[in-house]
Amino acid sequence: MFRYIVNKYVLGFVALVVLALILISYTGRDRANLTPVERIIKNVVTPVEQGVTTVVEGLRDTFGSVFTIGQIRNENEDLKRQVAVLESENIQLKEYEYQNLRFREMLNFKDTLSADYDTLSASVVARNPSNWFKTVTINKGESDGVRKDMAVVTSKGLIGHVINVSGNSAEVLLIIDNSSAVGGLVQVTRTPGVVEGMADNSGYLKMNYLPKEANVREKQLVISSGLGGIFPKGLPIGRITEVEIESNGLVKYAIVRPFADFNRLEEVLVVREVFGEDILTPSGGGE
Amino acid sequence: MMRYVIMSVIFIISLVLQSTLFSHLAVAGVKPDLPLIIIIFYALFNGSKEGALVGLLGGFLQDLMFGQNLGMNALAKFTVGYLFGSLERKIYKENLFIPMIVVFSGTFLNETILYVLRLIDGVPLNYLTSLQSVILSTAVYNSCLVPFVYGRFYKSSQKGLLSSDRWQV
Repeated sequence: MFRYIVNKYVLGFVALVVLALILISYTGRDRANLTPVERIIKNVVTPVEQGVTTVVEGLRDTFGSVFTIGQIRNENEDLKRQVAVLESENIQLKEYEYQNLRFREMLNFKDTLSADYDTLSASVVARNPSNWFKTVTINKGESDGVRKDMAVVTSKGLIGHVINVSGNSAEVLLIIDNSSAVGGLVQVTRTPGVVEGMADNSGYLKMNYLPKEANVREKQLVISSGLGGIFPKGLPIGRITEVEIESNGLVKYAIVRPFADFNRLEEVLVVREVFGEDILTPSGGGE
Repeated sequence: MMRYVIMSVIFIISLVLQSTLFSHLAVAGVKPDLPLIIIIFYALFNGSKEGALVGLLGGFLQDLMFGQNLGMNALAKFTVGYLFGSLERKIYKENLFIPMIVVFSGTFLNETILYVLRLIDGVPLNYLTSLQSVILSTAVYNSCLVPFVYGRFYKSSQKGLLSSDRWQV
């Protein structure tokens, strides 16, 4: 009976399972570099993926625009109206900005909030095939100056950070992945929290550890707080859609709808460098 | 030998398609797993030894291309290939419902293994939420794709490019 159970196939199976488990535990997300094999494979596969993605997106745009022409027309009308409103708002905001600058100069105030970023644009060429990992591959890598832990944004807001790099491609962990955590800040109330991906694949985010008495409400904006060192401060993340009290009754959490559309990521920006202090205080701040 | 080369090419194509085209075909946030379907079919027609081998190599390739923890997909697909390959002589392959059920259970197992590995890796996941939003939905989606893929695979395994007799001359 024992010999029947422990035949060589079963033994081989068990040995491989153990081997795989050891490998898995030694190759977590914290490792500094990719293995040479991975780098070679990524360098070969990325151009192919880029080609296929270009074709797929071209087809989708062509067919998509035929079917949605009515919708596009309406959207165009709406957008024109919005542009008019925004233009007038913009002029007013410019006024406030100048006023703000003058006040800052008076106060010798330094802040990284309106920091300037050195960004590099990249295309999303592939997505992780598994439903458990929300990562995308971009077509810029070490040779373009991309390094591990750099933040990645779109024009709408924060989308994630680089977790590994090869010669001409990089893997970006999206903030909707449930192993992702970003230090967040409710913009109006300055309440800090941790923005994490939701486990239910909804594409929404959960902002945890908000104090129970914090005045956090729907429609408030969430930005990155800069805590944790990876993400620069002040990048827009999303808008709160729901606030609930955690089951332990001690803290609140908020459901956040991200600004970036994670289903249609095409062009992204990698934040290579943040110029913090000298932007808003051209007069030299403390002097 | 030729069969393995063809199988590898099919697998690589399916991985590239999976990471590019299929990401646009997500329903309820879930995309189907074409490479897994191919491994399950291959195992069904060629037995557990070959199923395990193809699952292991295919899964490992996927890990090398996209993975953070090397071995996660390899382990899941290896187990699925091994277990479902053992059904080779036990099931009736001519009826379309059988491979649909097999793919459903294979995907269920694959996703459950990945869930457990993610959990061990320290990602906080709730089983019920994951079951609903990933495990079951992927299994349903995958089994819905079976009618489109199975016929071709069946013919090819009987007397086409993937048949074991064809290359033995």
